[in-house]
Amino acid sequence: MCRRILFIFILFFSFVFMQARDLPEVVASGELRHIGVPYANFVTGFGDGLDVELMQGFAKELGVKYVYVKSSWGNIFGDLTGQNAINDKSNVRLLSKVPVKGDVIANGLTIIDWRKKVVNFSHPTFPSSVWLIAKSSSKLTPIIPSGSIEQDIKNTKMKLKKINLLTRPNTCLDASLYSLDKSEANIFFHPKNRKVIEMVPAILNNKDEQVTLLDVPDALIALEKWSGEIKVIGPISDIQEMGVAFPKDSPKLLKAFNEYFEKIRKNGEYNKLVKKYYPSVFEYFDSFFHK
Amino acid sequence: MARNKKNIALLIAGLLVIGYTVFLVYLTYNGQNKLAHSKKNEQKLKLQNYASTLKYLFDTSKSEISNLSEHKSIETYFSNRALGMSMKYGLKSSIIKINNKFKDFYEKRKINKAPIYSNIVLLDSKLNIVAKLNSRVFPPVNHKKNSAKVYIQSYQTKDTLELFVVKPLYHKEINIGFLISQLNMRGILKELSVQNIEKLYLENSGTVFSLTNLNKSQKQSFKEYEKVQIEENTLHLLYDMSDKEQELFTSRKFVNALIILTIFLFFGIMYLVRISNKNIKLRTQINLTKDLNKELESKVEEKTKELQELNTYLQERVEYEVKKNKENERILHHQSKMATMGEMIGNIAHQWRQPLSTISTLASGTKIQKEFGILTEKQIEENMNNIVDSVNYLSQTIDDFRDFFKTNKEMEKFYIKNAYEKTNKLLNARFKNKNIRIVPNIQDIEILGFKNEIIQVFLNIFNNSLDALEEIKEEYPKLILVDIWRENEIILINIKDNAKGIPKNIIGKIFESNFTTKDGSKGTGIGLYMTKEIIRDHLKGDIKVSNEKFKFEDREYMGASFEIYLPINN
Repeated sequence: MCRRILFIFILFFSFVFMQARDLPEVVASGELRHIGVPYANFVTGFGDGLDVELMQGFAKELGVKYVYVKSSWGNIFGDLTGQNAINDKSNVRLLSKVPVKGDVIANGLTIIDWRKKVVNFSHPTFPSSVWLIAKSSSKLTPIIPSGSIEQDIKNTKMKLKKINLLTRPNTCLDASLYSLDKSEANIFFHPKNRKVIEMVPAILNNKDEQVTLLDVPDALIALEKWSGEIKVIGPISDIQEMGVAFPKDSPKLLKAFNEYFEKIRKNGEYNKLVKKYYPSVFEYFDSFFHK
Repeated sequence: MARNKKNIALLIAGLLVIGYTVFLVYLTYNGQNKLAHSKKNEQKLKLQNYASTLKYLFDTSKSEISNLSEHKSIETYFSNRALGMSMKYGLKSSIIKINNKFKDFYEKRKINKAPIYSNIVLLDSKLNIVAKLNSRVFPPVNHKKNSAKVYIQSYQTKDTLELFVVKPLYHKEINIGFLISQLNMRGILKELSVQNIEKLYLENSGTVFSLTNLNKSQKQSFKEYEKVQIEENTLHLLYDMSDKEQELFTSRKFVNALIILTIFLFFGIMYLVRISNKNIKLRTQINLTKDLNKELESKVEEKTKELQELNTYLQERVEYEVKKNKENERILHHQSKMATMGEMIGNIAHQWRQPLSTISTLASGTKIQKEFGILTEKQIEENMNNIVDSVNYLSQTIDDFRDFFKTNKEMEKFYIKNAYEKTNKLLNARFKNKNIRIVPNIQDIEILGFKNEIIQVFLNIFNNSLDALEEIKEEYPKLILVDIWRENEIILINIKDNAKGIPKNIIGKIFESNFTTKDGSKGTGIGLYMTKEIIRDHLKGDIKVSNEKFKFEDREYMGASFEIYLPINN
């Protein structure tokens, strides 16, 4: 009898932990759980950020309570889908199963091919690009814009020859995403337990010549924070897009979000939010925000 | 004597007022000199005070712009630019930050509601614009010193002066750019509410600008001014003291006004004295005029009385004359009747001649017949009967005339034909005697009136025709045509003869009194006049005369034609 009760208990919790929720369940539960990792001005870690306010608005639209679920880059997909996953040479490798903690991931998550295999992405919410950042004292000099992004990327990559490059696997700063692992650069990995933004102090404190990758939203913050200490050498990637991630089995929730997002884009509310957290981003990606 | 005393009193009072005014002028003039001196000192103090305010404003601005130039976004921009970063990859973001900082700086730097700065511009060392608050013009940078010291730069346009705070930016002793902010002097000065701002001027390199609007002004117009340096050797604050007297209430103008007032008073008093004299003359003249008026009034009364008396006399005279006139008329009427009577007597004579001759013949025949003894009884009776008939005829004639001379006092109803026949009877003897044929054509119409007057009218007209026909020597039948007929309520009587008519020159006068063409034995000039009077006044009718051609028994005649209109019911 006791064994039977234990089985039912385990089965129930397994269901609870393993099963992602779709729109009816979210509405029925009365709360929207937002999974986030503090990153740039998307999730500041101080209770605000562009994606925090975006999700708060979505929860309000659904008529449910907003709940923030703190996560980490290592567990972020597991917290959403119930199973962690990593990029393994452009293939997805599924890892251990974990309890589902939230309903959406929103923290400036770049839409990358391997990630699309793990989660469903909403309509793009933010544009991005990855720049190569160096210490101001670096012998590397910024490229002169050619007018062609492809040429600029090529010119930037050419400067990486025998250069120590600090990257972060399984994020948008993963060298393999941009075929940098096949270049002549010496690739180093940023520790998992460190924040992405800490990659800049890492290269600054390194006695040796070292460069790193930063996506544009982070780079803009870093340029201000370490004014005169770092410089942008040039672009590593073409324009990328960020989006909100949903479990594969939450199509209704995804659809509801896309509808909400398009609504606030059209009425200008979204651009107000962007201006609040990234006032200068319009100068770089004007066409994205005014299409 | 009283008049002189009055004038002297007026003169003394006037002189006292003038003396008092002169005393006031003296006091005022003396006081204003002292006041002007203290005013000048006060103005100098004000100038110092205003200069201090402006200096403080400039120093504060310089300090603020220096602080702004040290903002991290500016530093980042120049650092990144120095590191060779491109606008496309990173440099642009710091410019956005700078622009935002400029906006924030502009919004927060205000005096009351007026912004202290009207523009902020960041230039690189080659004077290219890096960032700017707005599109207002900024001056060419006048920076020749190798110094990072912030300074005030003036910039003169054609008519105005603009002031800028310029902060040269240096990095490692190399000039990398300039931060320039334009001072919103007009707005600031307005908010500072500087008193007497219209007298304050900014002098920049010898040119003067009004502090009110910073427009160019003419220094040459200043008679007197004070000057204080407010920014190194370039800017001075000027206070125009040339019109200081205008600021004082007790100014020279006031003194002049008092002097003019004194002059006016003097002439005013003189004028009053003259007016007073003239008044006395006028009063005397008025009194004389009043006496004259009274005299005139009594004369007018007297004359009025005389006129009234004259009027009464005239009225009496008129009444008397009217009476006299009536009397004359009565006499005239009487005369007329007398004349008629005279004519009647002639007629009686005519009438009587035949019967008297008959009586005489019969009497003498009877007498002769008796003497010859041939008088028979039958003859006597026959003769006596004839004599009685003749006497009766005579008697009848007398009755007829007596009736005519009776005075009708009241109107009576009678037939017009009867009146005609009576007239005819009276004149019959004359008609026959003169061989005049009367041709009557008479309707028998009853009329209300005085019968004898109608008869008199007929008599006068017939007599007139008789007299005229007597004059005719030609041999043709002498006619008097009488037509009487009725038209509605009017009786028309037409009496015409064939005596060739009345000469044209007298036809208009025949109804006038005393007018006659007959010799003294025949005419009195009353007949036709009275005829007209009777018809118009008594019978309320009318009479007209004209010469008329007419045909009678296939022969054409010409004669006078009388037309009479009589109302049936007078």
